[in-house]
Amino acid sequence: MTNVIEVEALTVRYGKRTAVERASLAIPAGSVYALLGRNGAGKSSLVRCLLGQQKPSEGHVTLFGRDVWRDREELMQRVGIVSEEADAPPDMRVSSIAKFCARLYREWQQSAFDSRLERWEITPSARFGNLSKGQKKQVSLALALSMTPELIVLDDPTLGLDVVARKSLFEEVIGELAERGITVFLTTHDLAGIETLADRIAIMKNGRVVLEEELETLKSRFRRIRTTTAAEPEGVVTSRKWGSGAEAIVSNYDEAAAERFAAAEVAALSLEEIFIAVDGDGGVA
Amino acid sequence: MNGTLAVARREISEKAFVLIAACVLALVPFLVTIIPGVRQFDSHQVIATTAAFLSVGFAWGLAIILGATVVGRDLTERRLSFYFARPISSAAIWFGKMGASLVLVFASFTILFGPAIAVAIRAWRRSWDIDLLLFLGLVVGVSIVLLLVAHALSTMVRSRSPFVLIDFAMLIVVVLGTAAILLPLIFAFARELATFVASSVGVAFLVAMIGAGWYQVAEGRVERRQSHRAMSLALWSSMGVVLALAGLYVAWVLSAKPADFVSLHEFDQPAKGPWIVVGGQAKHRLDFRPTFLINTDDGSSQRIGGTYRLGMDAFFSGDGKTVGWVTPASLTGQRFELVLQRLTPGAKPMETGIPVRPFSELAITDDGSRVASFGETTTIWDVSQRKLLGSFRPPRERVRRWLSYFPDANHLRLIAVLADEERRLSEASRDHTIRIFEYDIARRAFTVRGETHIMARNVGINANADGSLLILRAYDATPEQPFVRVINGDTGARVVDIAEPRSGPGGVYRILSNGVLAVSQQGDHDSVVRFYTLDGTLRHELPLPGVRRMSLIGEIAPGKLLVDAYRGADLTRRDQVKFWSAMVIDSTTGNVVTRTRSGLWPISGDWYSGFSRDPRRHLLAAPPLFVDENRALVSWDPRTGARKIILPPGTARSGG
Repeated sequence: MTNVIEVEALTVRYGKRTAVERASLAIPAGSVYALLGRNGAGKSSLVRCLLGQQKPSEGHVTLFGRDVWRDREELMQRVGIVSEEADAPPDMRVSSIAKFCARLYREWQQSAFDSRLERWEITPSARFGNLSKGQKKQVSLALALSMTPELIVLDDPTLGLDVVARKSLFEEVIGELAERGITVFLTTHDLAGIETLADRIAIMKNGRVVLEEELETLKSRFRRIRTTTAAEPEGVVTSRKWGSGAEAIVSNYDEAAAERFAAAEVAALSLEEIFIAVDGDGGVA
Repeated sequence: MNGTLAVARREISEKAFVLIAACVLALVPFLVTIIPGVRQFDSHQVIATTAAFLSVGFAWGLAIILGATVVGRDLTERRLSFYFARPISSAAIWFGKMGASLVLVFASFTILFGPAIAVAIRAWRRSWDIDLLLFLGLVVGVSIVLLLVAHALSTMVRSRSPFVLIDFAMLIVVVLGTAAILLPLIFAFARELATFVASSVGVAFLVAMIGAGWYQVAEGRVERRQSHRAMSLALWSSMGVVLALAGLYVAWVLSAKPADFVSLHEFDQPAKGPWIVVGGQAKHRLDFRPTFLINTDDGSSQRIGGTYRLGMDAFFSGDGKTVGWVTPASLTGQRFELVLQRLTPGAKPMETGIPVRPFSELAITDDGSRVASFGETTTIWDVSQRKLLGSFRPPRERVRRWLSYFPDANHLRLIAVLADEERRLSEASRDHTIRIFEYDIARRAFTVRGETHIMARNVGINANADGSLLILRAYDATPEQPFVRVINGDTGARVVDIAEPRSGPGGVYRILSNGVLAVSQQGDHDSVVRFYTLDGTLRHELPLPGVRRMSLIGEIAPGKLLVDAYRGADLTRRDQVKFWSAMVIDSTTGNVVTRTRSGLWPISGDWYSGFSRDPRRHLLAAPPLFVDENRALVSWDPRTGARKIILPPGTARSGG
């Protein structure tokens, strides 16, 4: 499987502060890839570099095998983007934004845009600045989808969305995209939302990519183990006292471990729990 | 192009309210006319004036606002990613935004100014000195400058980066660098060249700002500080290159050598010594007119300040050991001072601090120790001590010309020719008073020593070698024939009047050092030189057939007069060297003793009125200079016949 996105030893510095340090990622075509991390972990800087909007201090990023900094203009014909903050001019009407985009993209689908607006009950004549946060995201998404992208980059797309809109976004949109074979790269704090959709996960912490693998594999090797003895199992990510015994989260749970802890209470972890275990203070992958 | 247009169209539609505001404001010039108190003025004039101020203020204000926001605000508000997330090139973003801003500015200006000027075009032409096209050009030019400068400043300020200190430092460097490049040209009075260089640097600065804006968007993209850094890097490095090129160009201009002359306009040669001063136009250097001090013995040269544009050529002291010139003494070029240089090995120019007024006269003692600077108040200075020795107010009214010189280090002699327009003998002839003044430095006294009157259209004046006798020639002394009068140089007492036998277009006259008067009369077809004794007796008359103009260059030995004669048919083409020839006439016999073949055009006498502003110098110790047929500046020594090339062929053309 070819990689749509390749990030190699990417470093981003702002003066003396390092926002991203030697980050490397490879996103296969057709996958749904989620980049997770707490605020300030370096996700936005990485995304900006990924979209050719910011020059890396070191390393480089390729999209579809081409250097994105150099070939941004051409590559953006193939990439739909929903940015973290709504960046369309607030005075611009939704229909004008679509018109503007229609002039720029070779494969613009006006009918798809119109039908999405209709489905989301957004008036085309409304000014972008007058829309709610969720509607702005929806307009951005409609724009990103109407240019027939091969890759769609969603930078925290659920920020500001209510529960219903969030669910709609993940299940209807991303699910649909994944089914159509469009590569999806997203950053999000909504771990529950992507748990059933993402193929691969990367977690950034303090500018470094501390974890990067298939979601299924990840979920299969993380377990919470509660024992009645104080003995700590191997591969512990975090541990704490639990009654007279101990509770530990391990990152290397396998068949051998299952036998070893047959007497113990072993439970699978949600993505959110894994993230907290990995990204919380003292957590390691 | 598609991207640029898309961006421009979007920007214009976003700010279309500006055009609506302009439409509303366009009514103001017309409404002003109905205000009570304004009605008394010409309504068209009111409309034109109001519209001019309103439209210019609106356009320039809008240019500043748009410049400060068009990219900077999008960067600050993180909305530039709207463009970068789409298939639009950086150039399209930059030029689209800037193009849209300019369209808005010019469209607003047109909306505000157009209707008013259509109605009041005649009033505009009546009341505004500035040409309409020039006015429009000014509005356009300044708008572009304001837009770009506002953008640059906005980028710097909005980035909140310490890099702004570097910008400030670089701005100072650019300003100082530009001044350092321009000042030598301004001080050399090369205004055209300075304007050319300044305009080029200005245009380059604009181009650099446009280029830097593009580079900022291309390299900085959505990151504010990176954007600022990219712009500054591009702007200042471009300006560095521009200033380096401008500096190299100016250095090349200033490096002109005497061999680069293509025409000459300034010349002085002392009676003694090997030095000459030559100024002129150098090859490919526009109006830069370098002046050189040249040693005719060894060919060495030194560029000196030349202020011929102020009517103040360089000059020598009587002993030929000091040269002086005037240089600007302030950055504004409004004050000038005298610079003197001793003509000894290793001597450097000395800024004397002696103030000099443009187009005024200077006199220097024969030994170069004292200087008089003429103006409304004439000041006399000791050069070595830079001390003011005295001052007086010379006569200003009715002065047609004067001569000045130091007969000795303690006295300054001033011979003024004063014309009384009220006292006329005929339409062309009026009373001329030739008055001899003297300033006694020790006594600080300014006195009149004597005077004489001549009724004439014009009076020429000259002096003998020690200034004891003055020779006056009255031109068109209607109804009398032209005549020459010799007077005592100290008292003004008449020595002799000599009536010339025929009228003519004038001539030249000298009191030679053997006491003989040499007077030339030029005719339409031939000329004559007559030699008189001081009692008015005609001793010799030398007809010069075919000579239509002549120059009495000076004496190569007492009584031996060097004359250059022109035989060409066209008097307006006296630069045809082949028609000039030189001869030496012995005033005691009236015979020509040496004659050259043709082809020596005298630098002195025809091209220039005299070697020096000191009238007394006639005895030539140094070989005089001529222009030969190859337009080379040559010295020719009539005593030996030796000819030496001072400036190579092609350099010595008449320049202005």
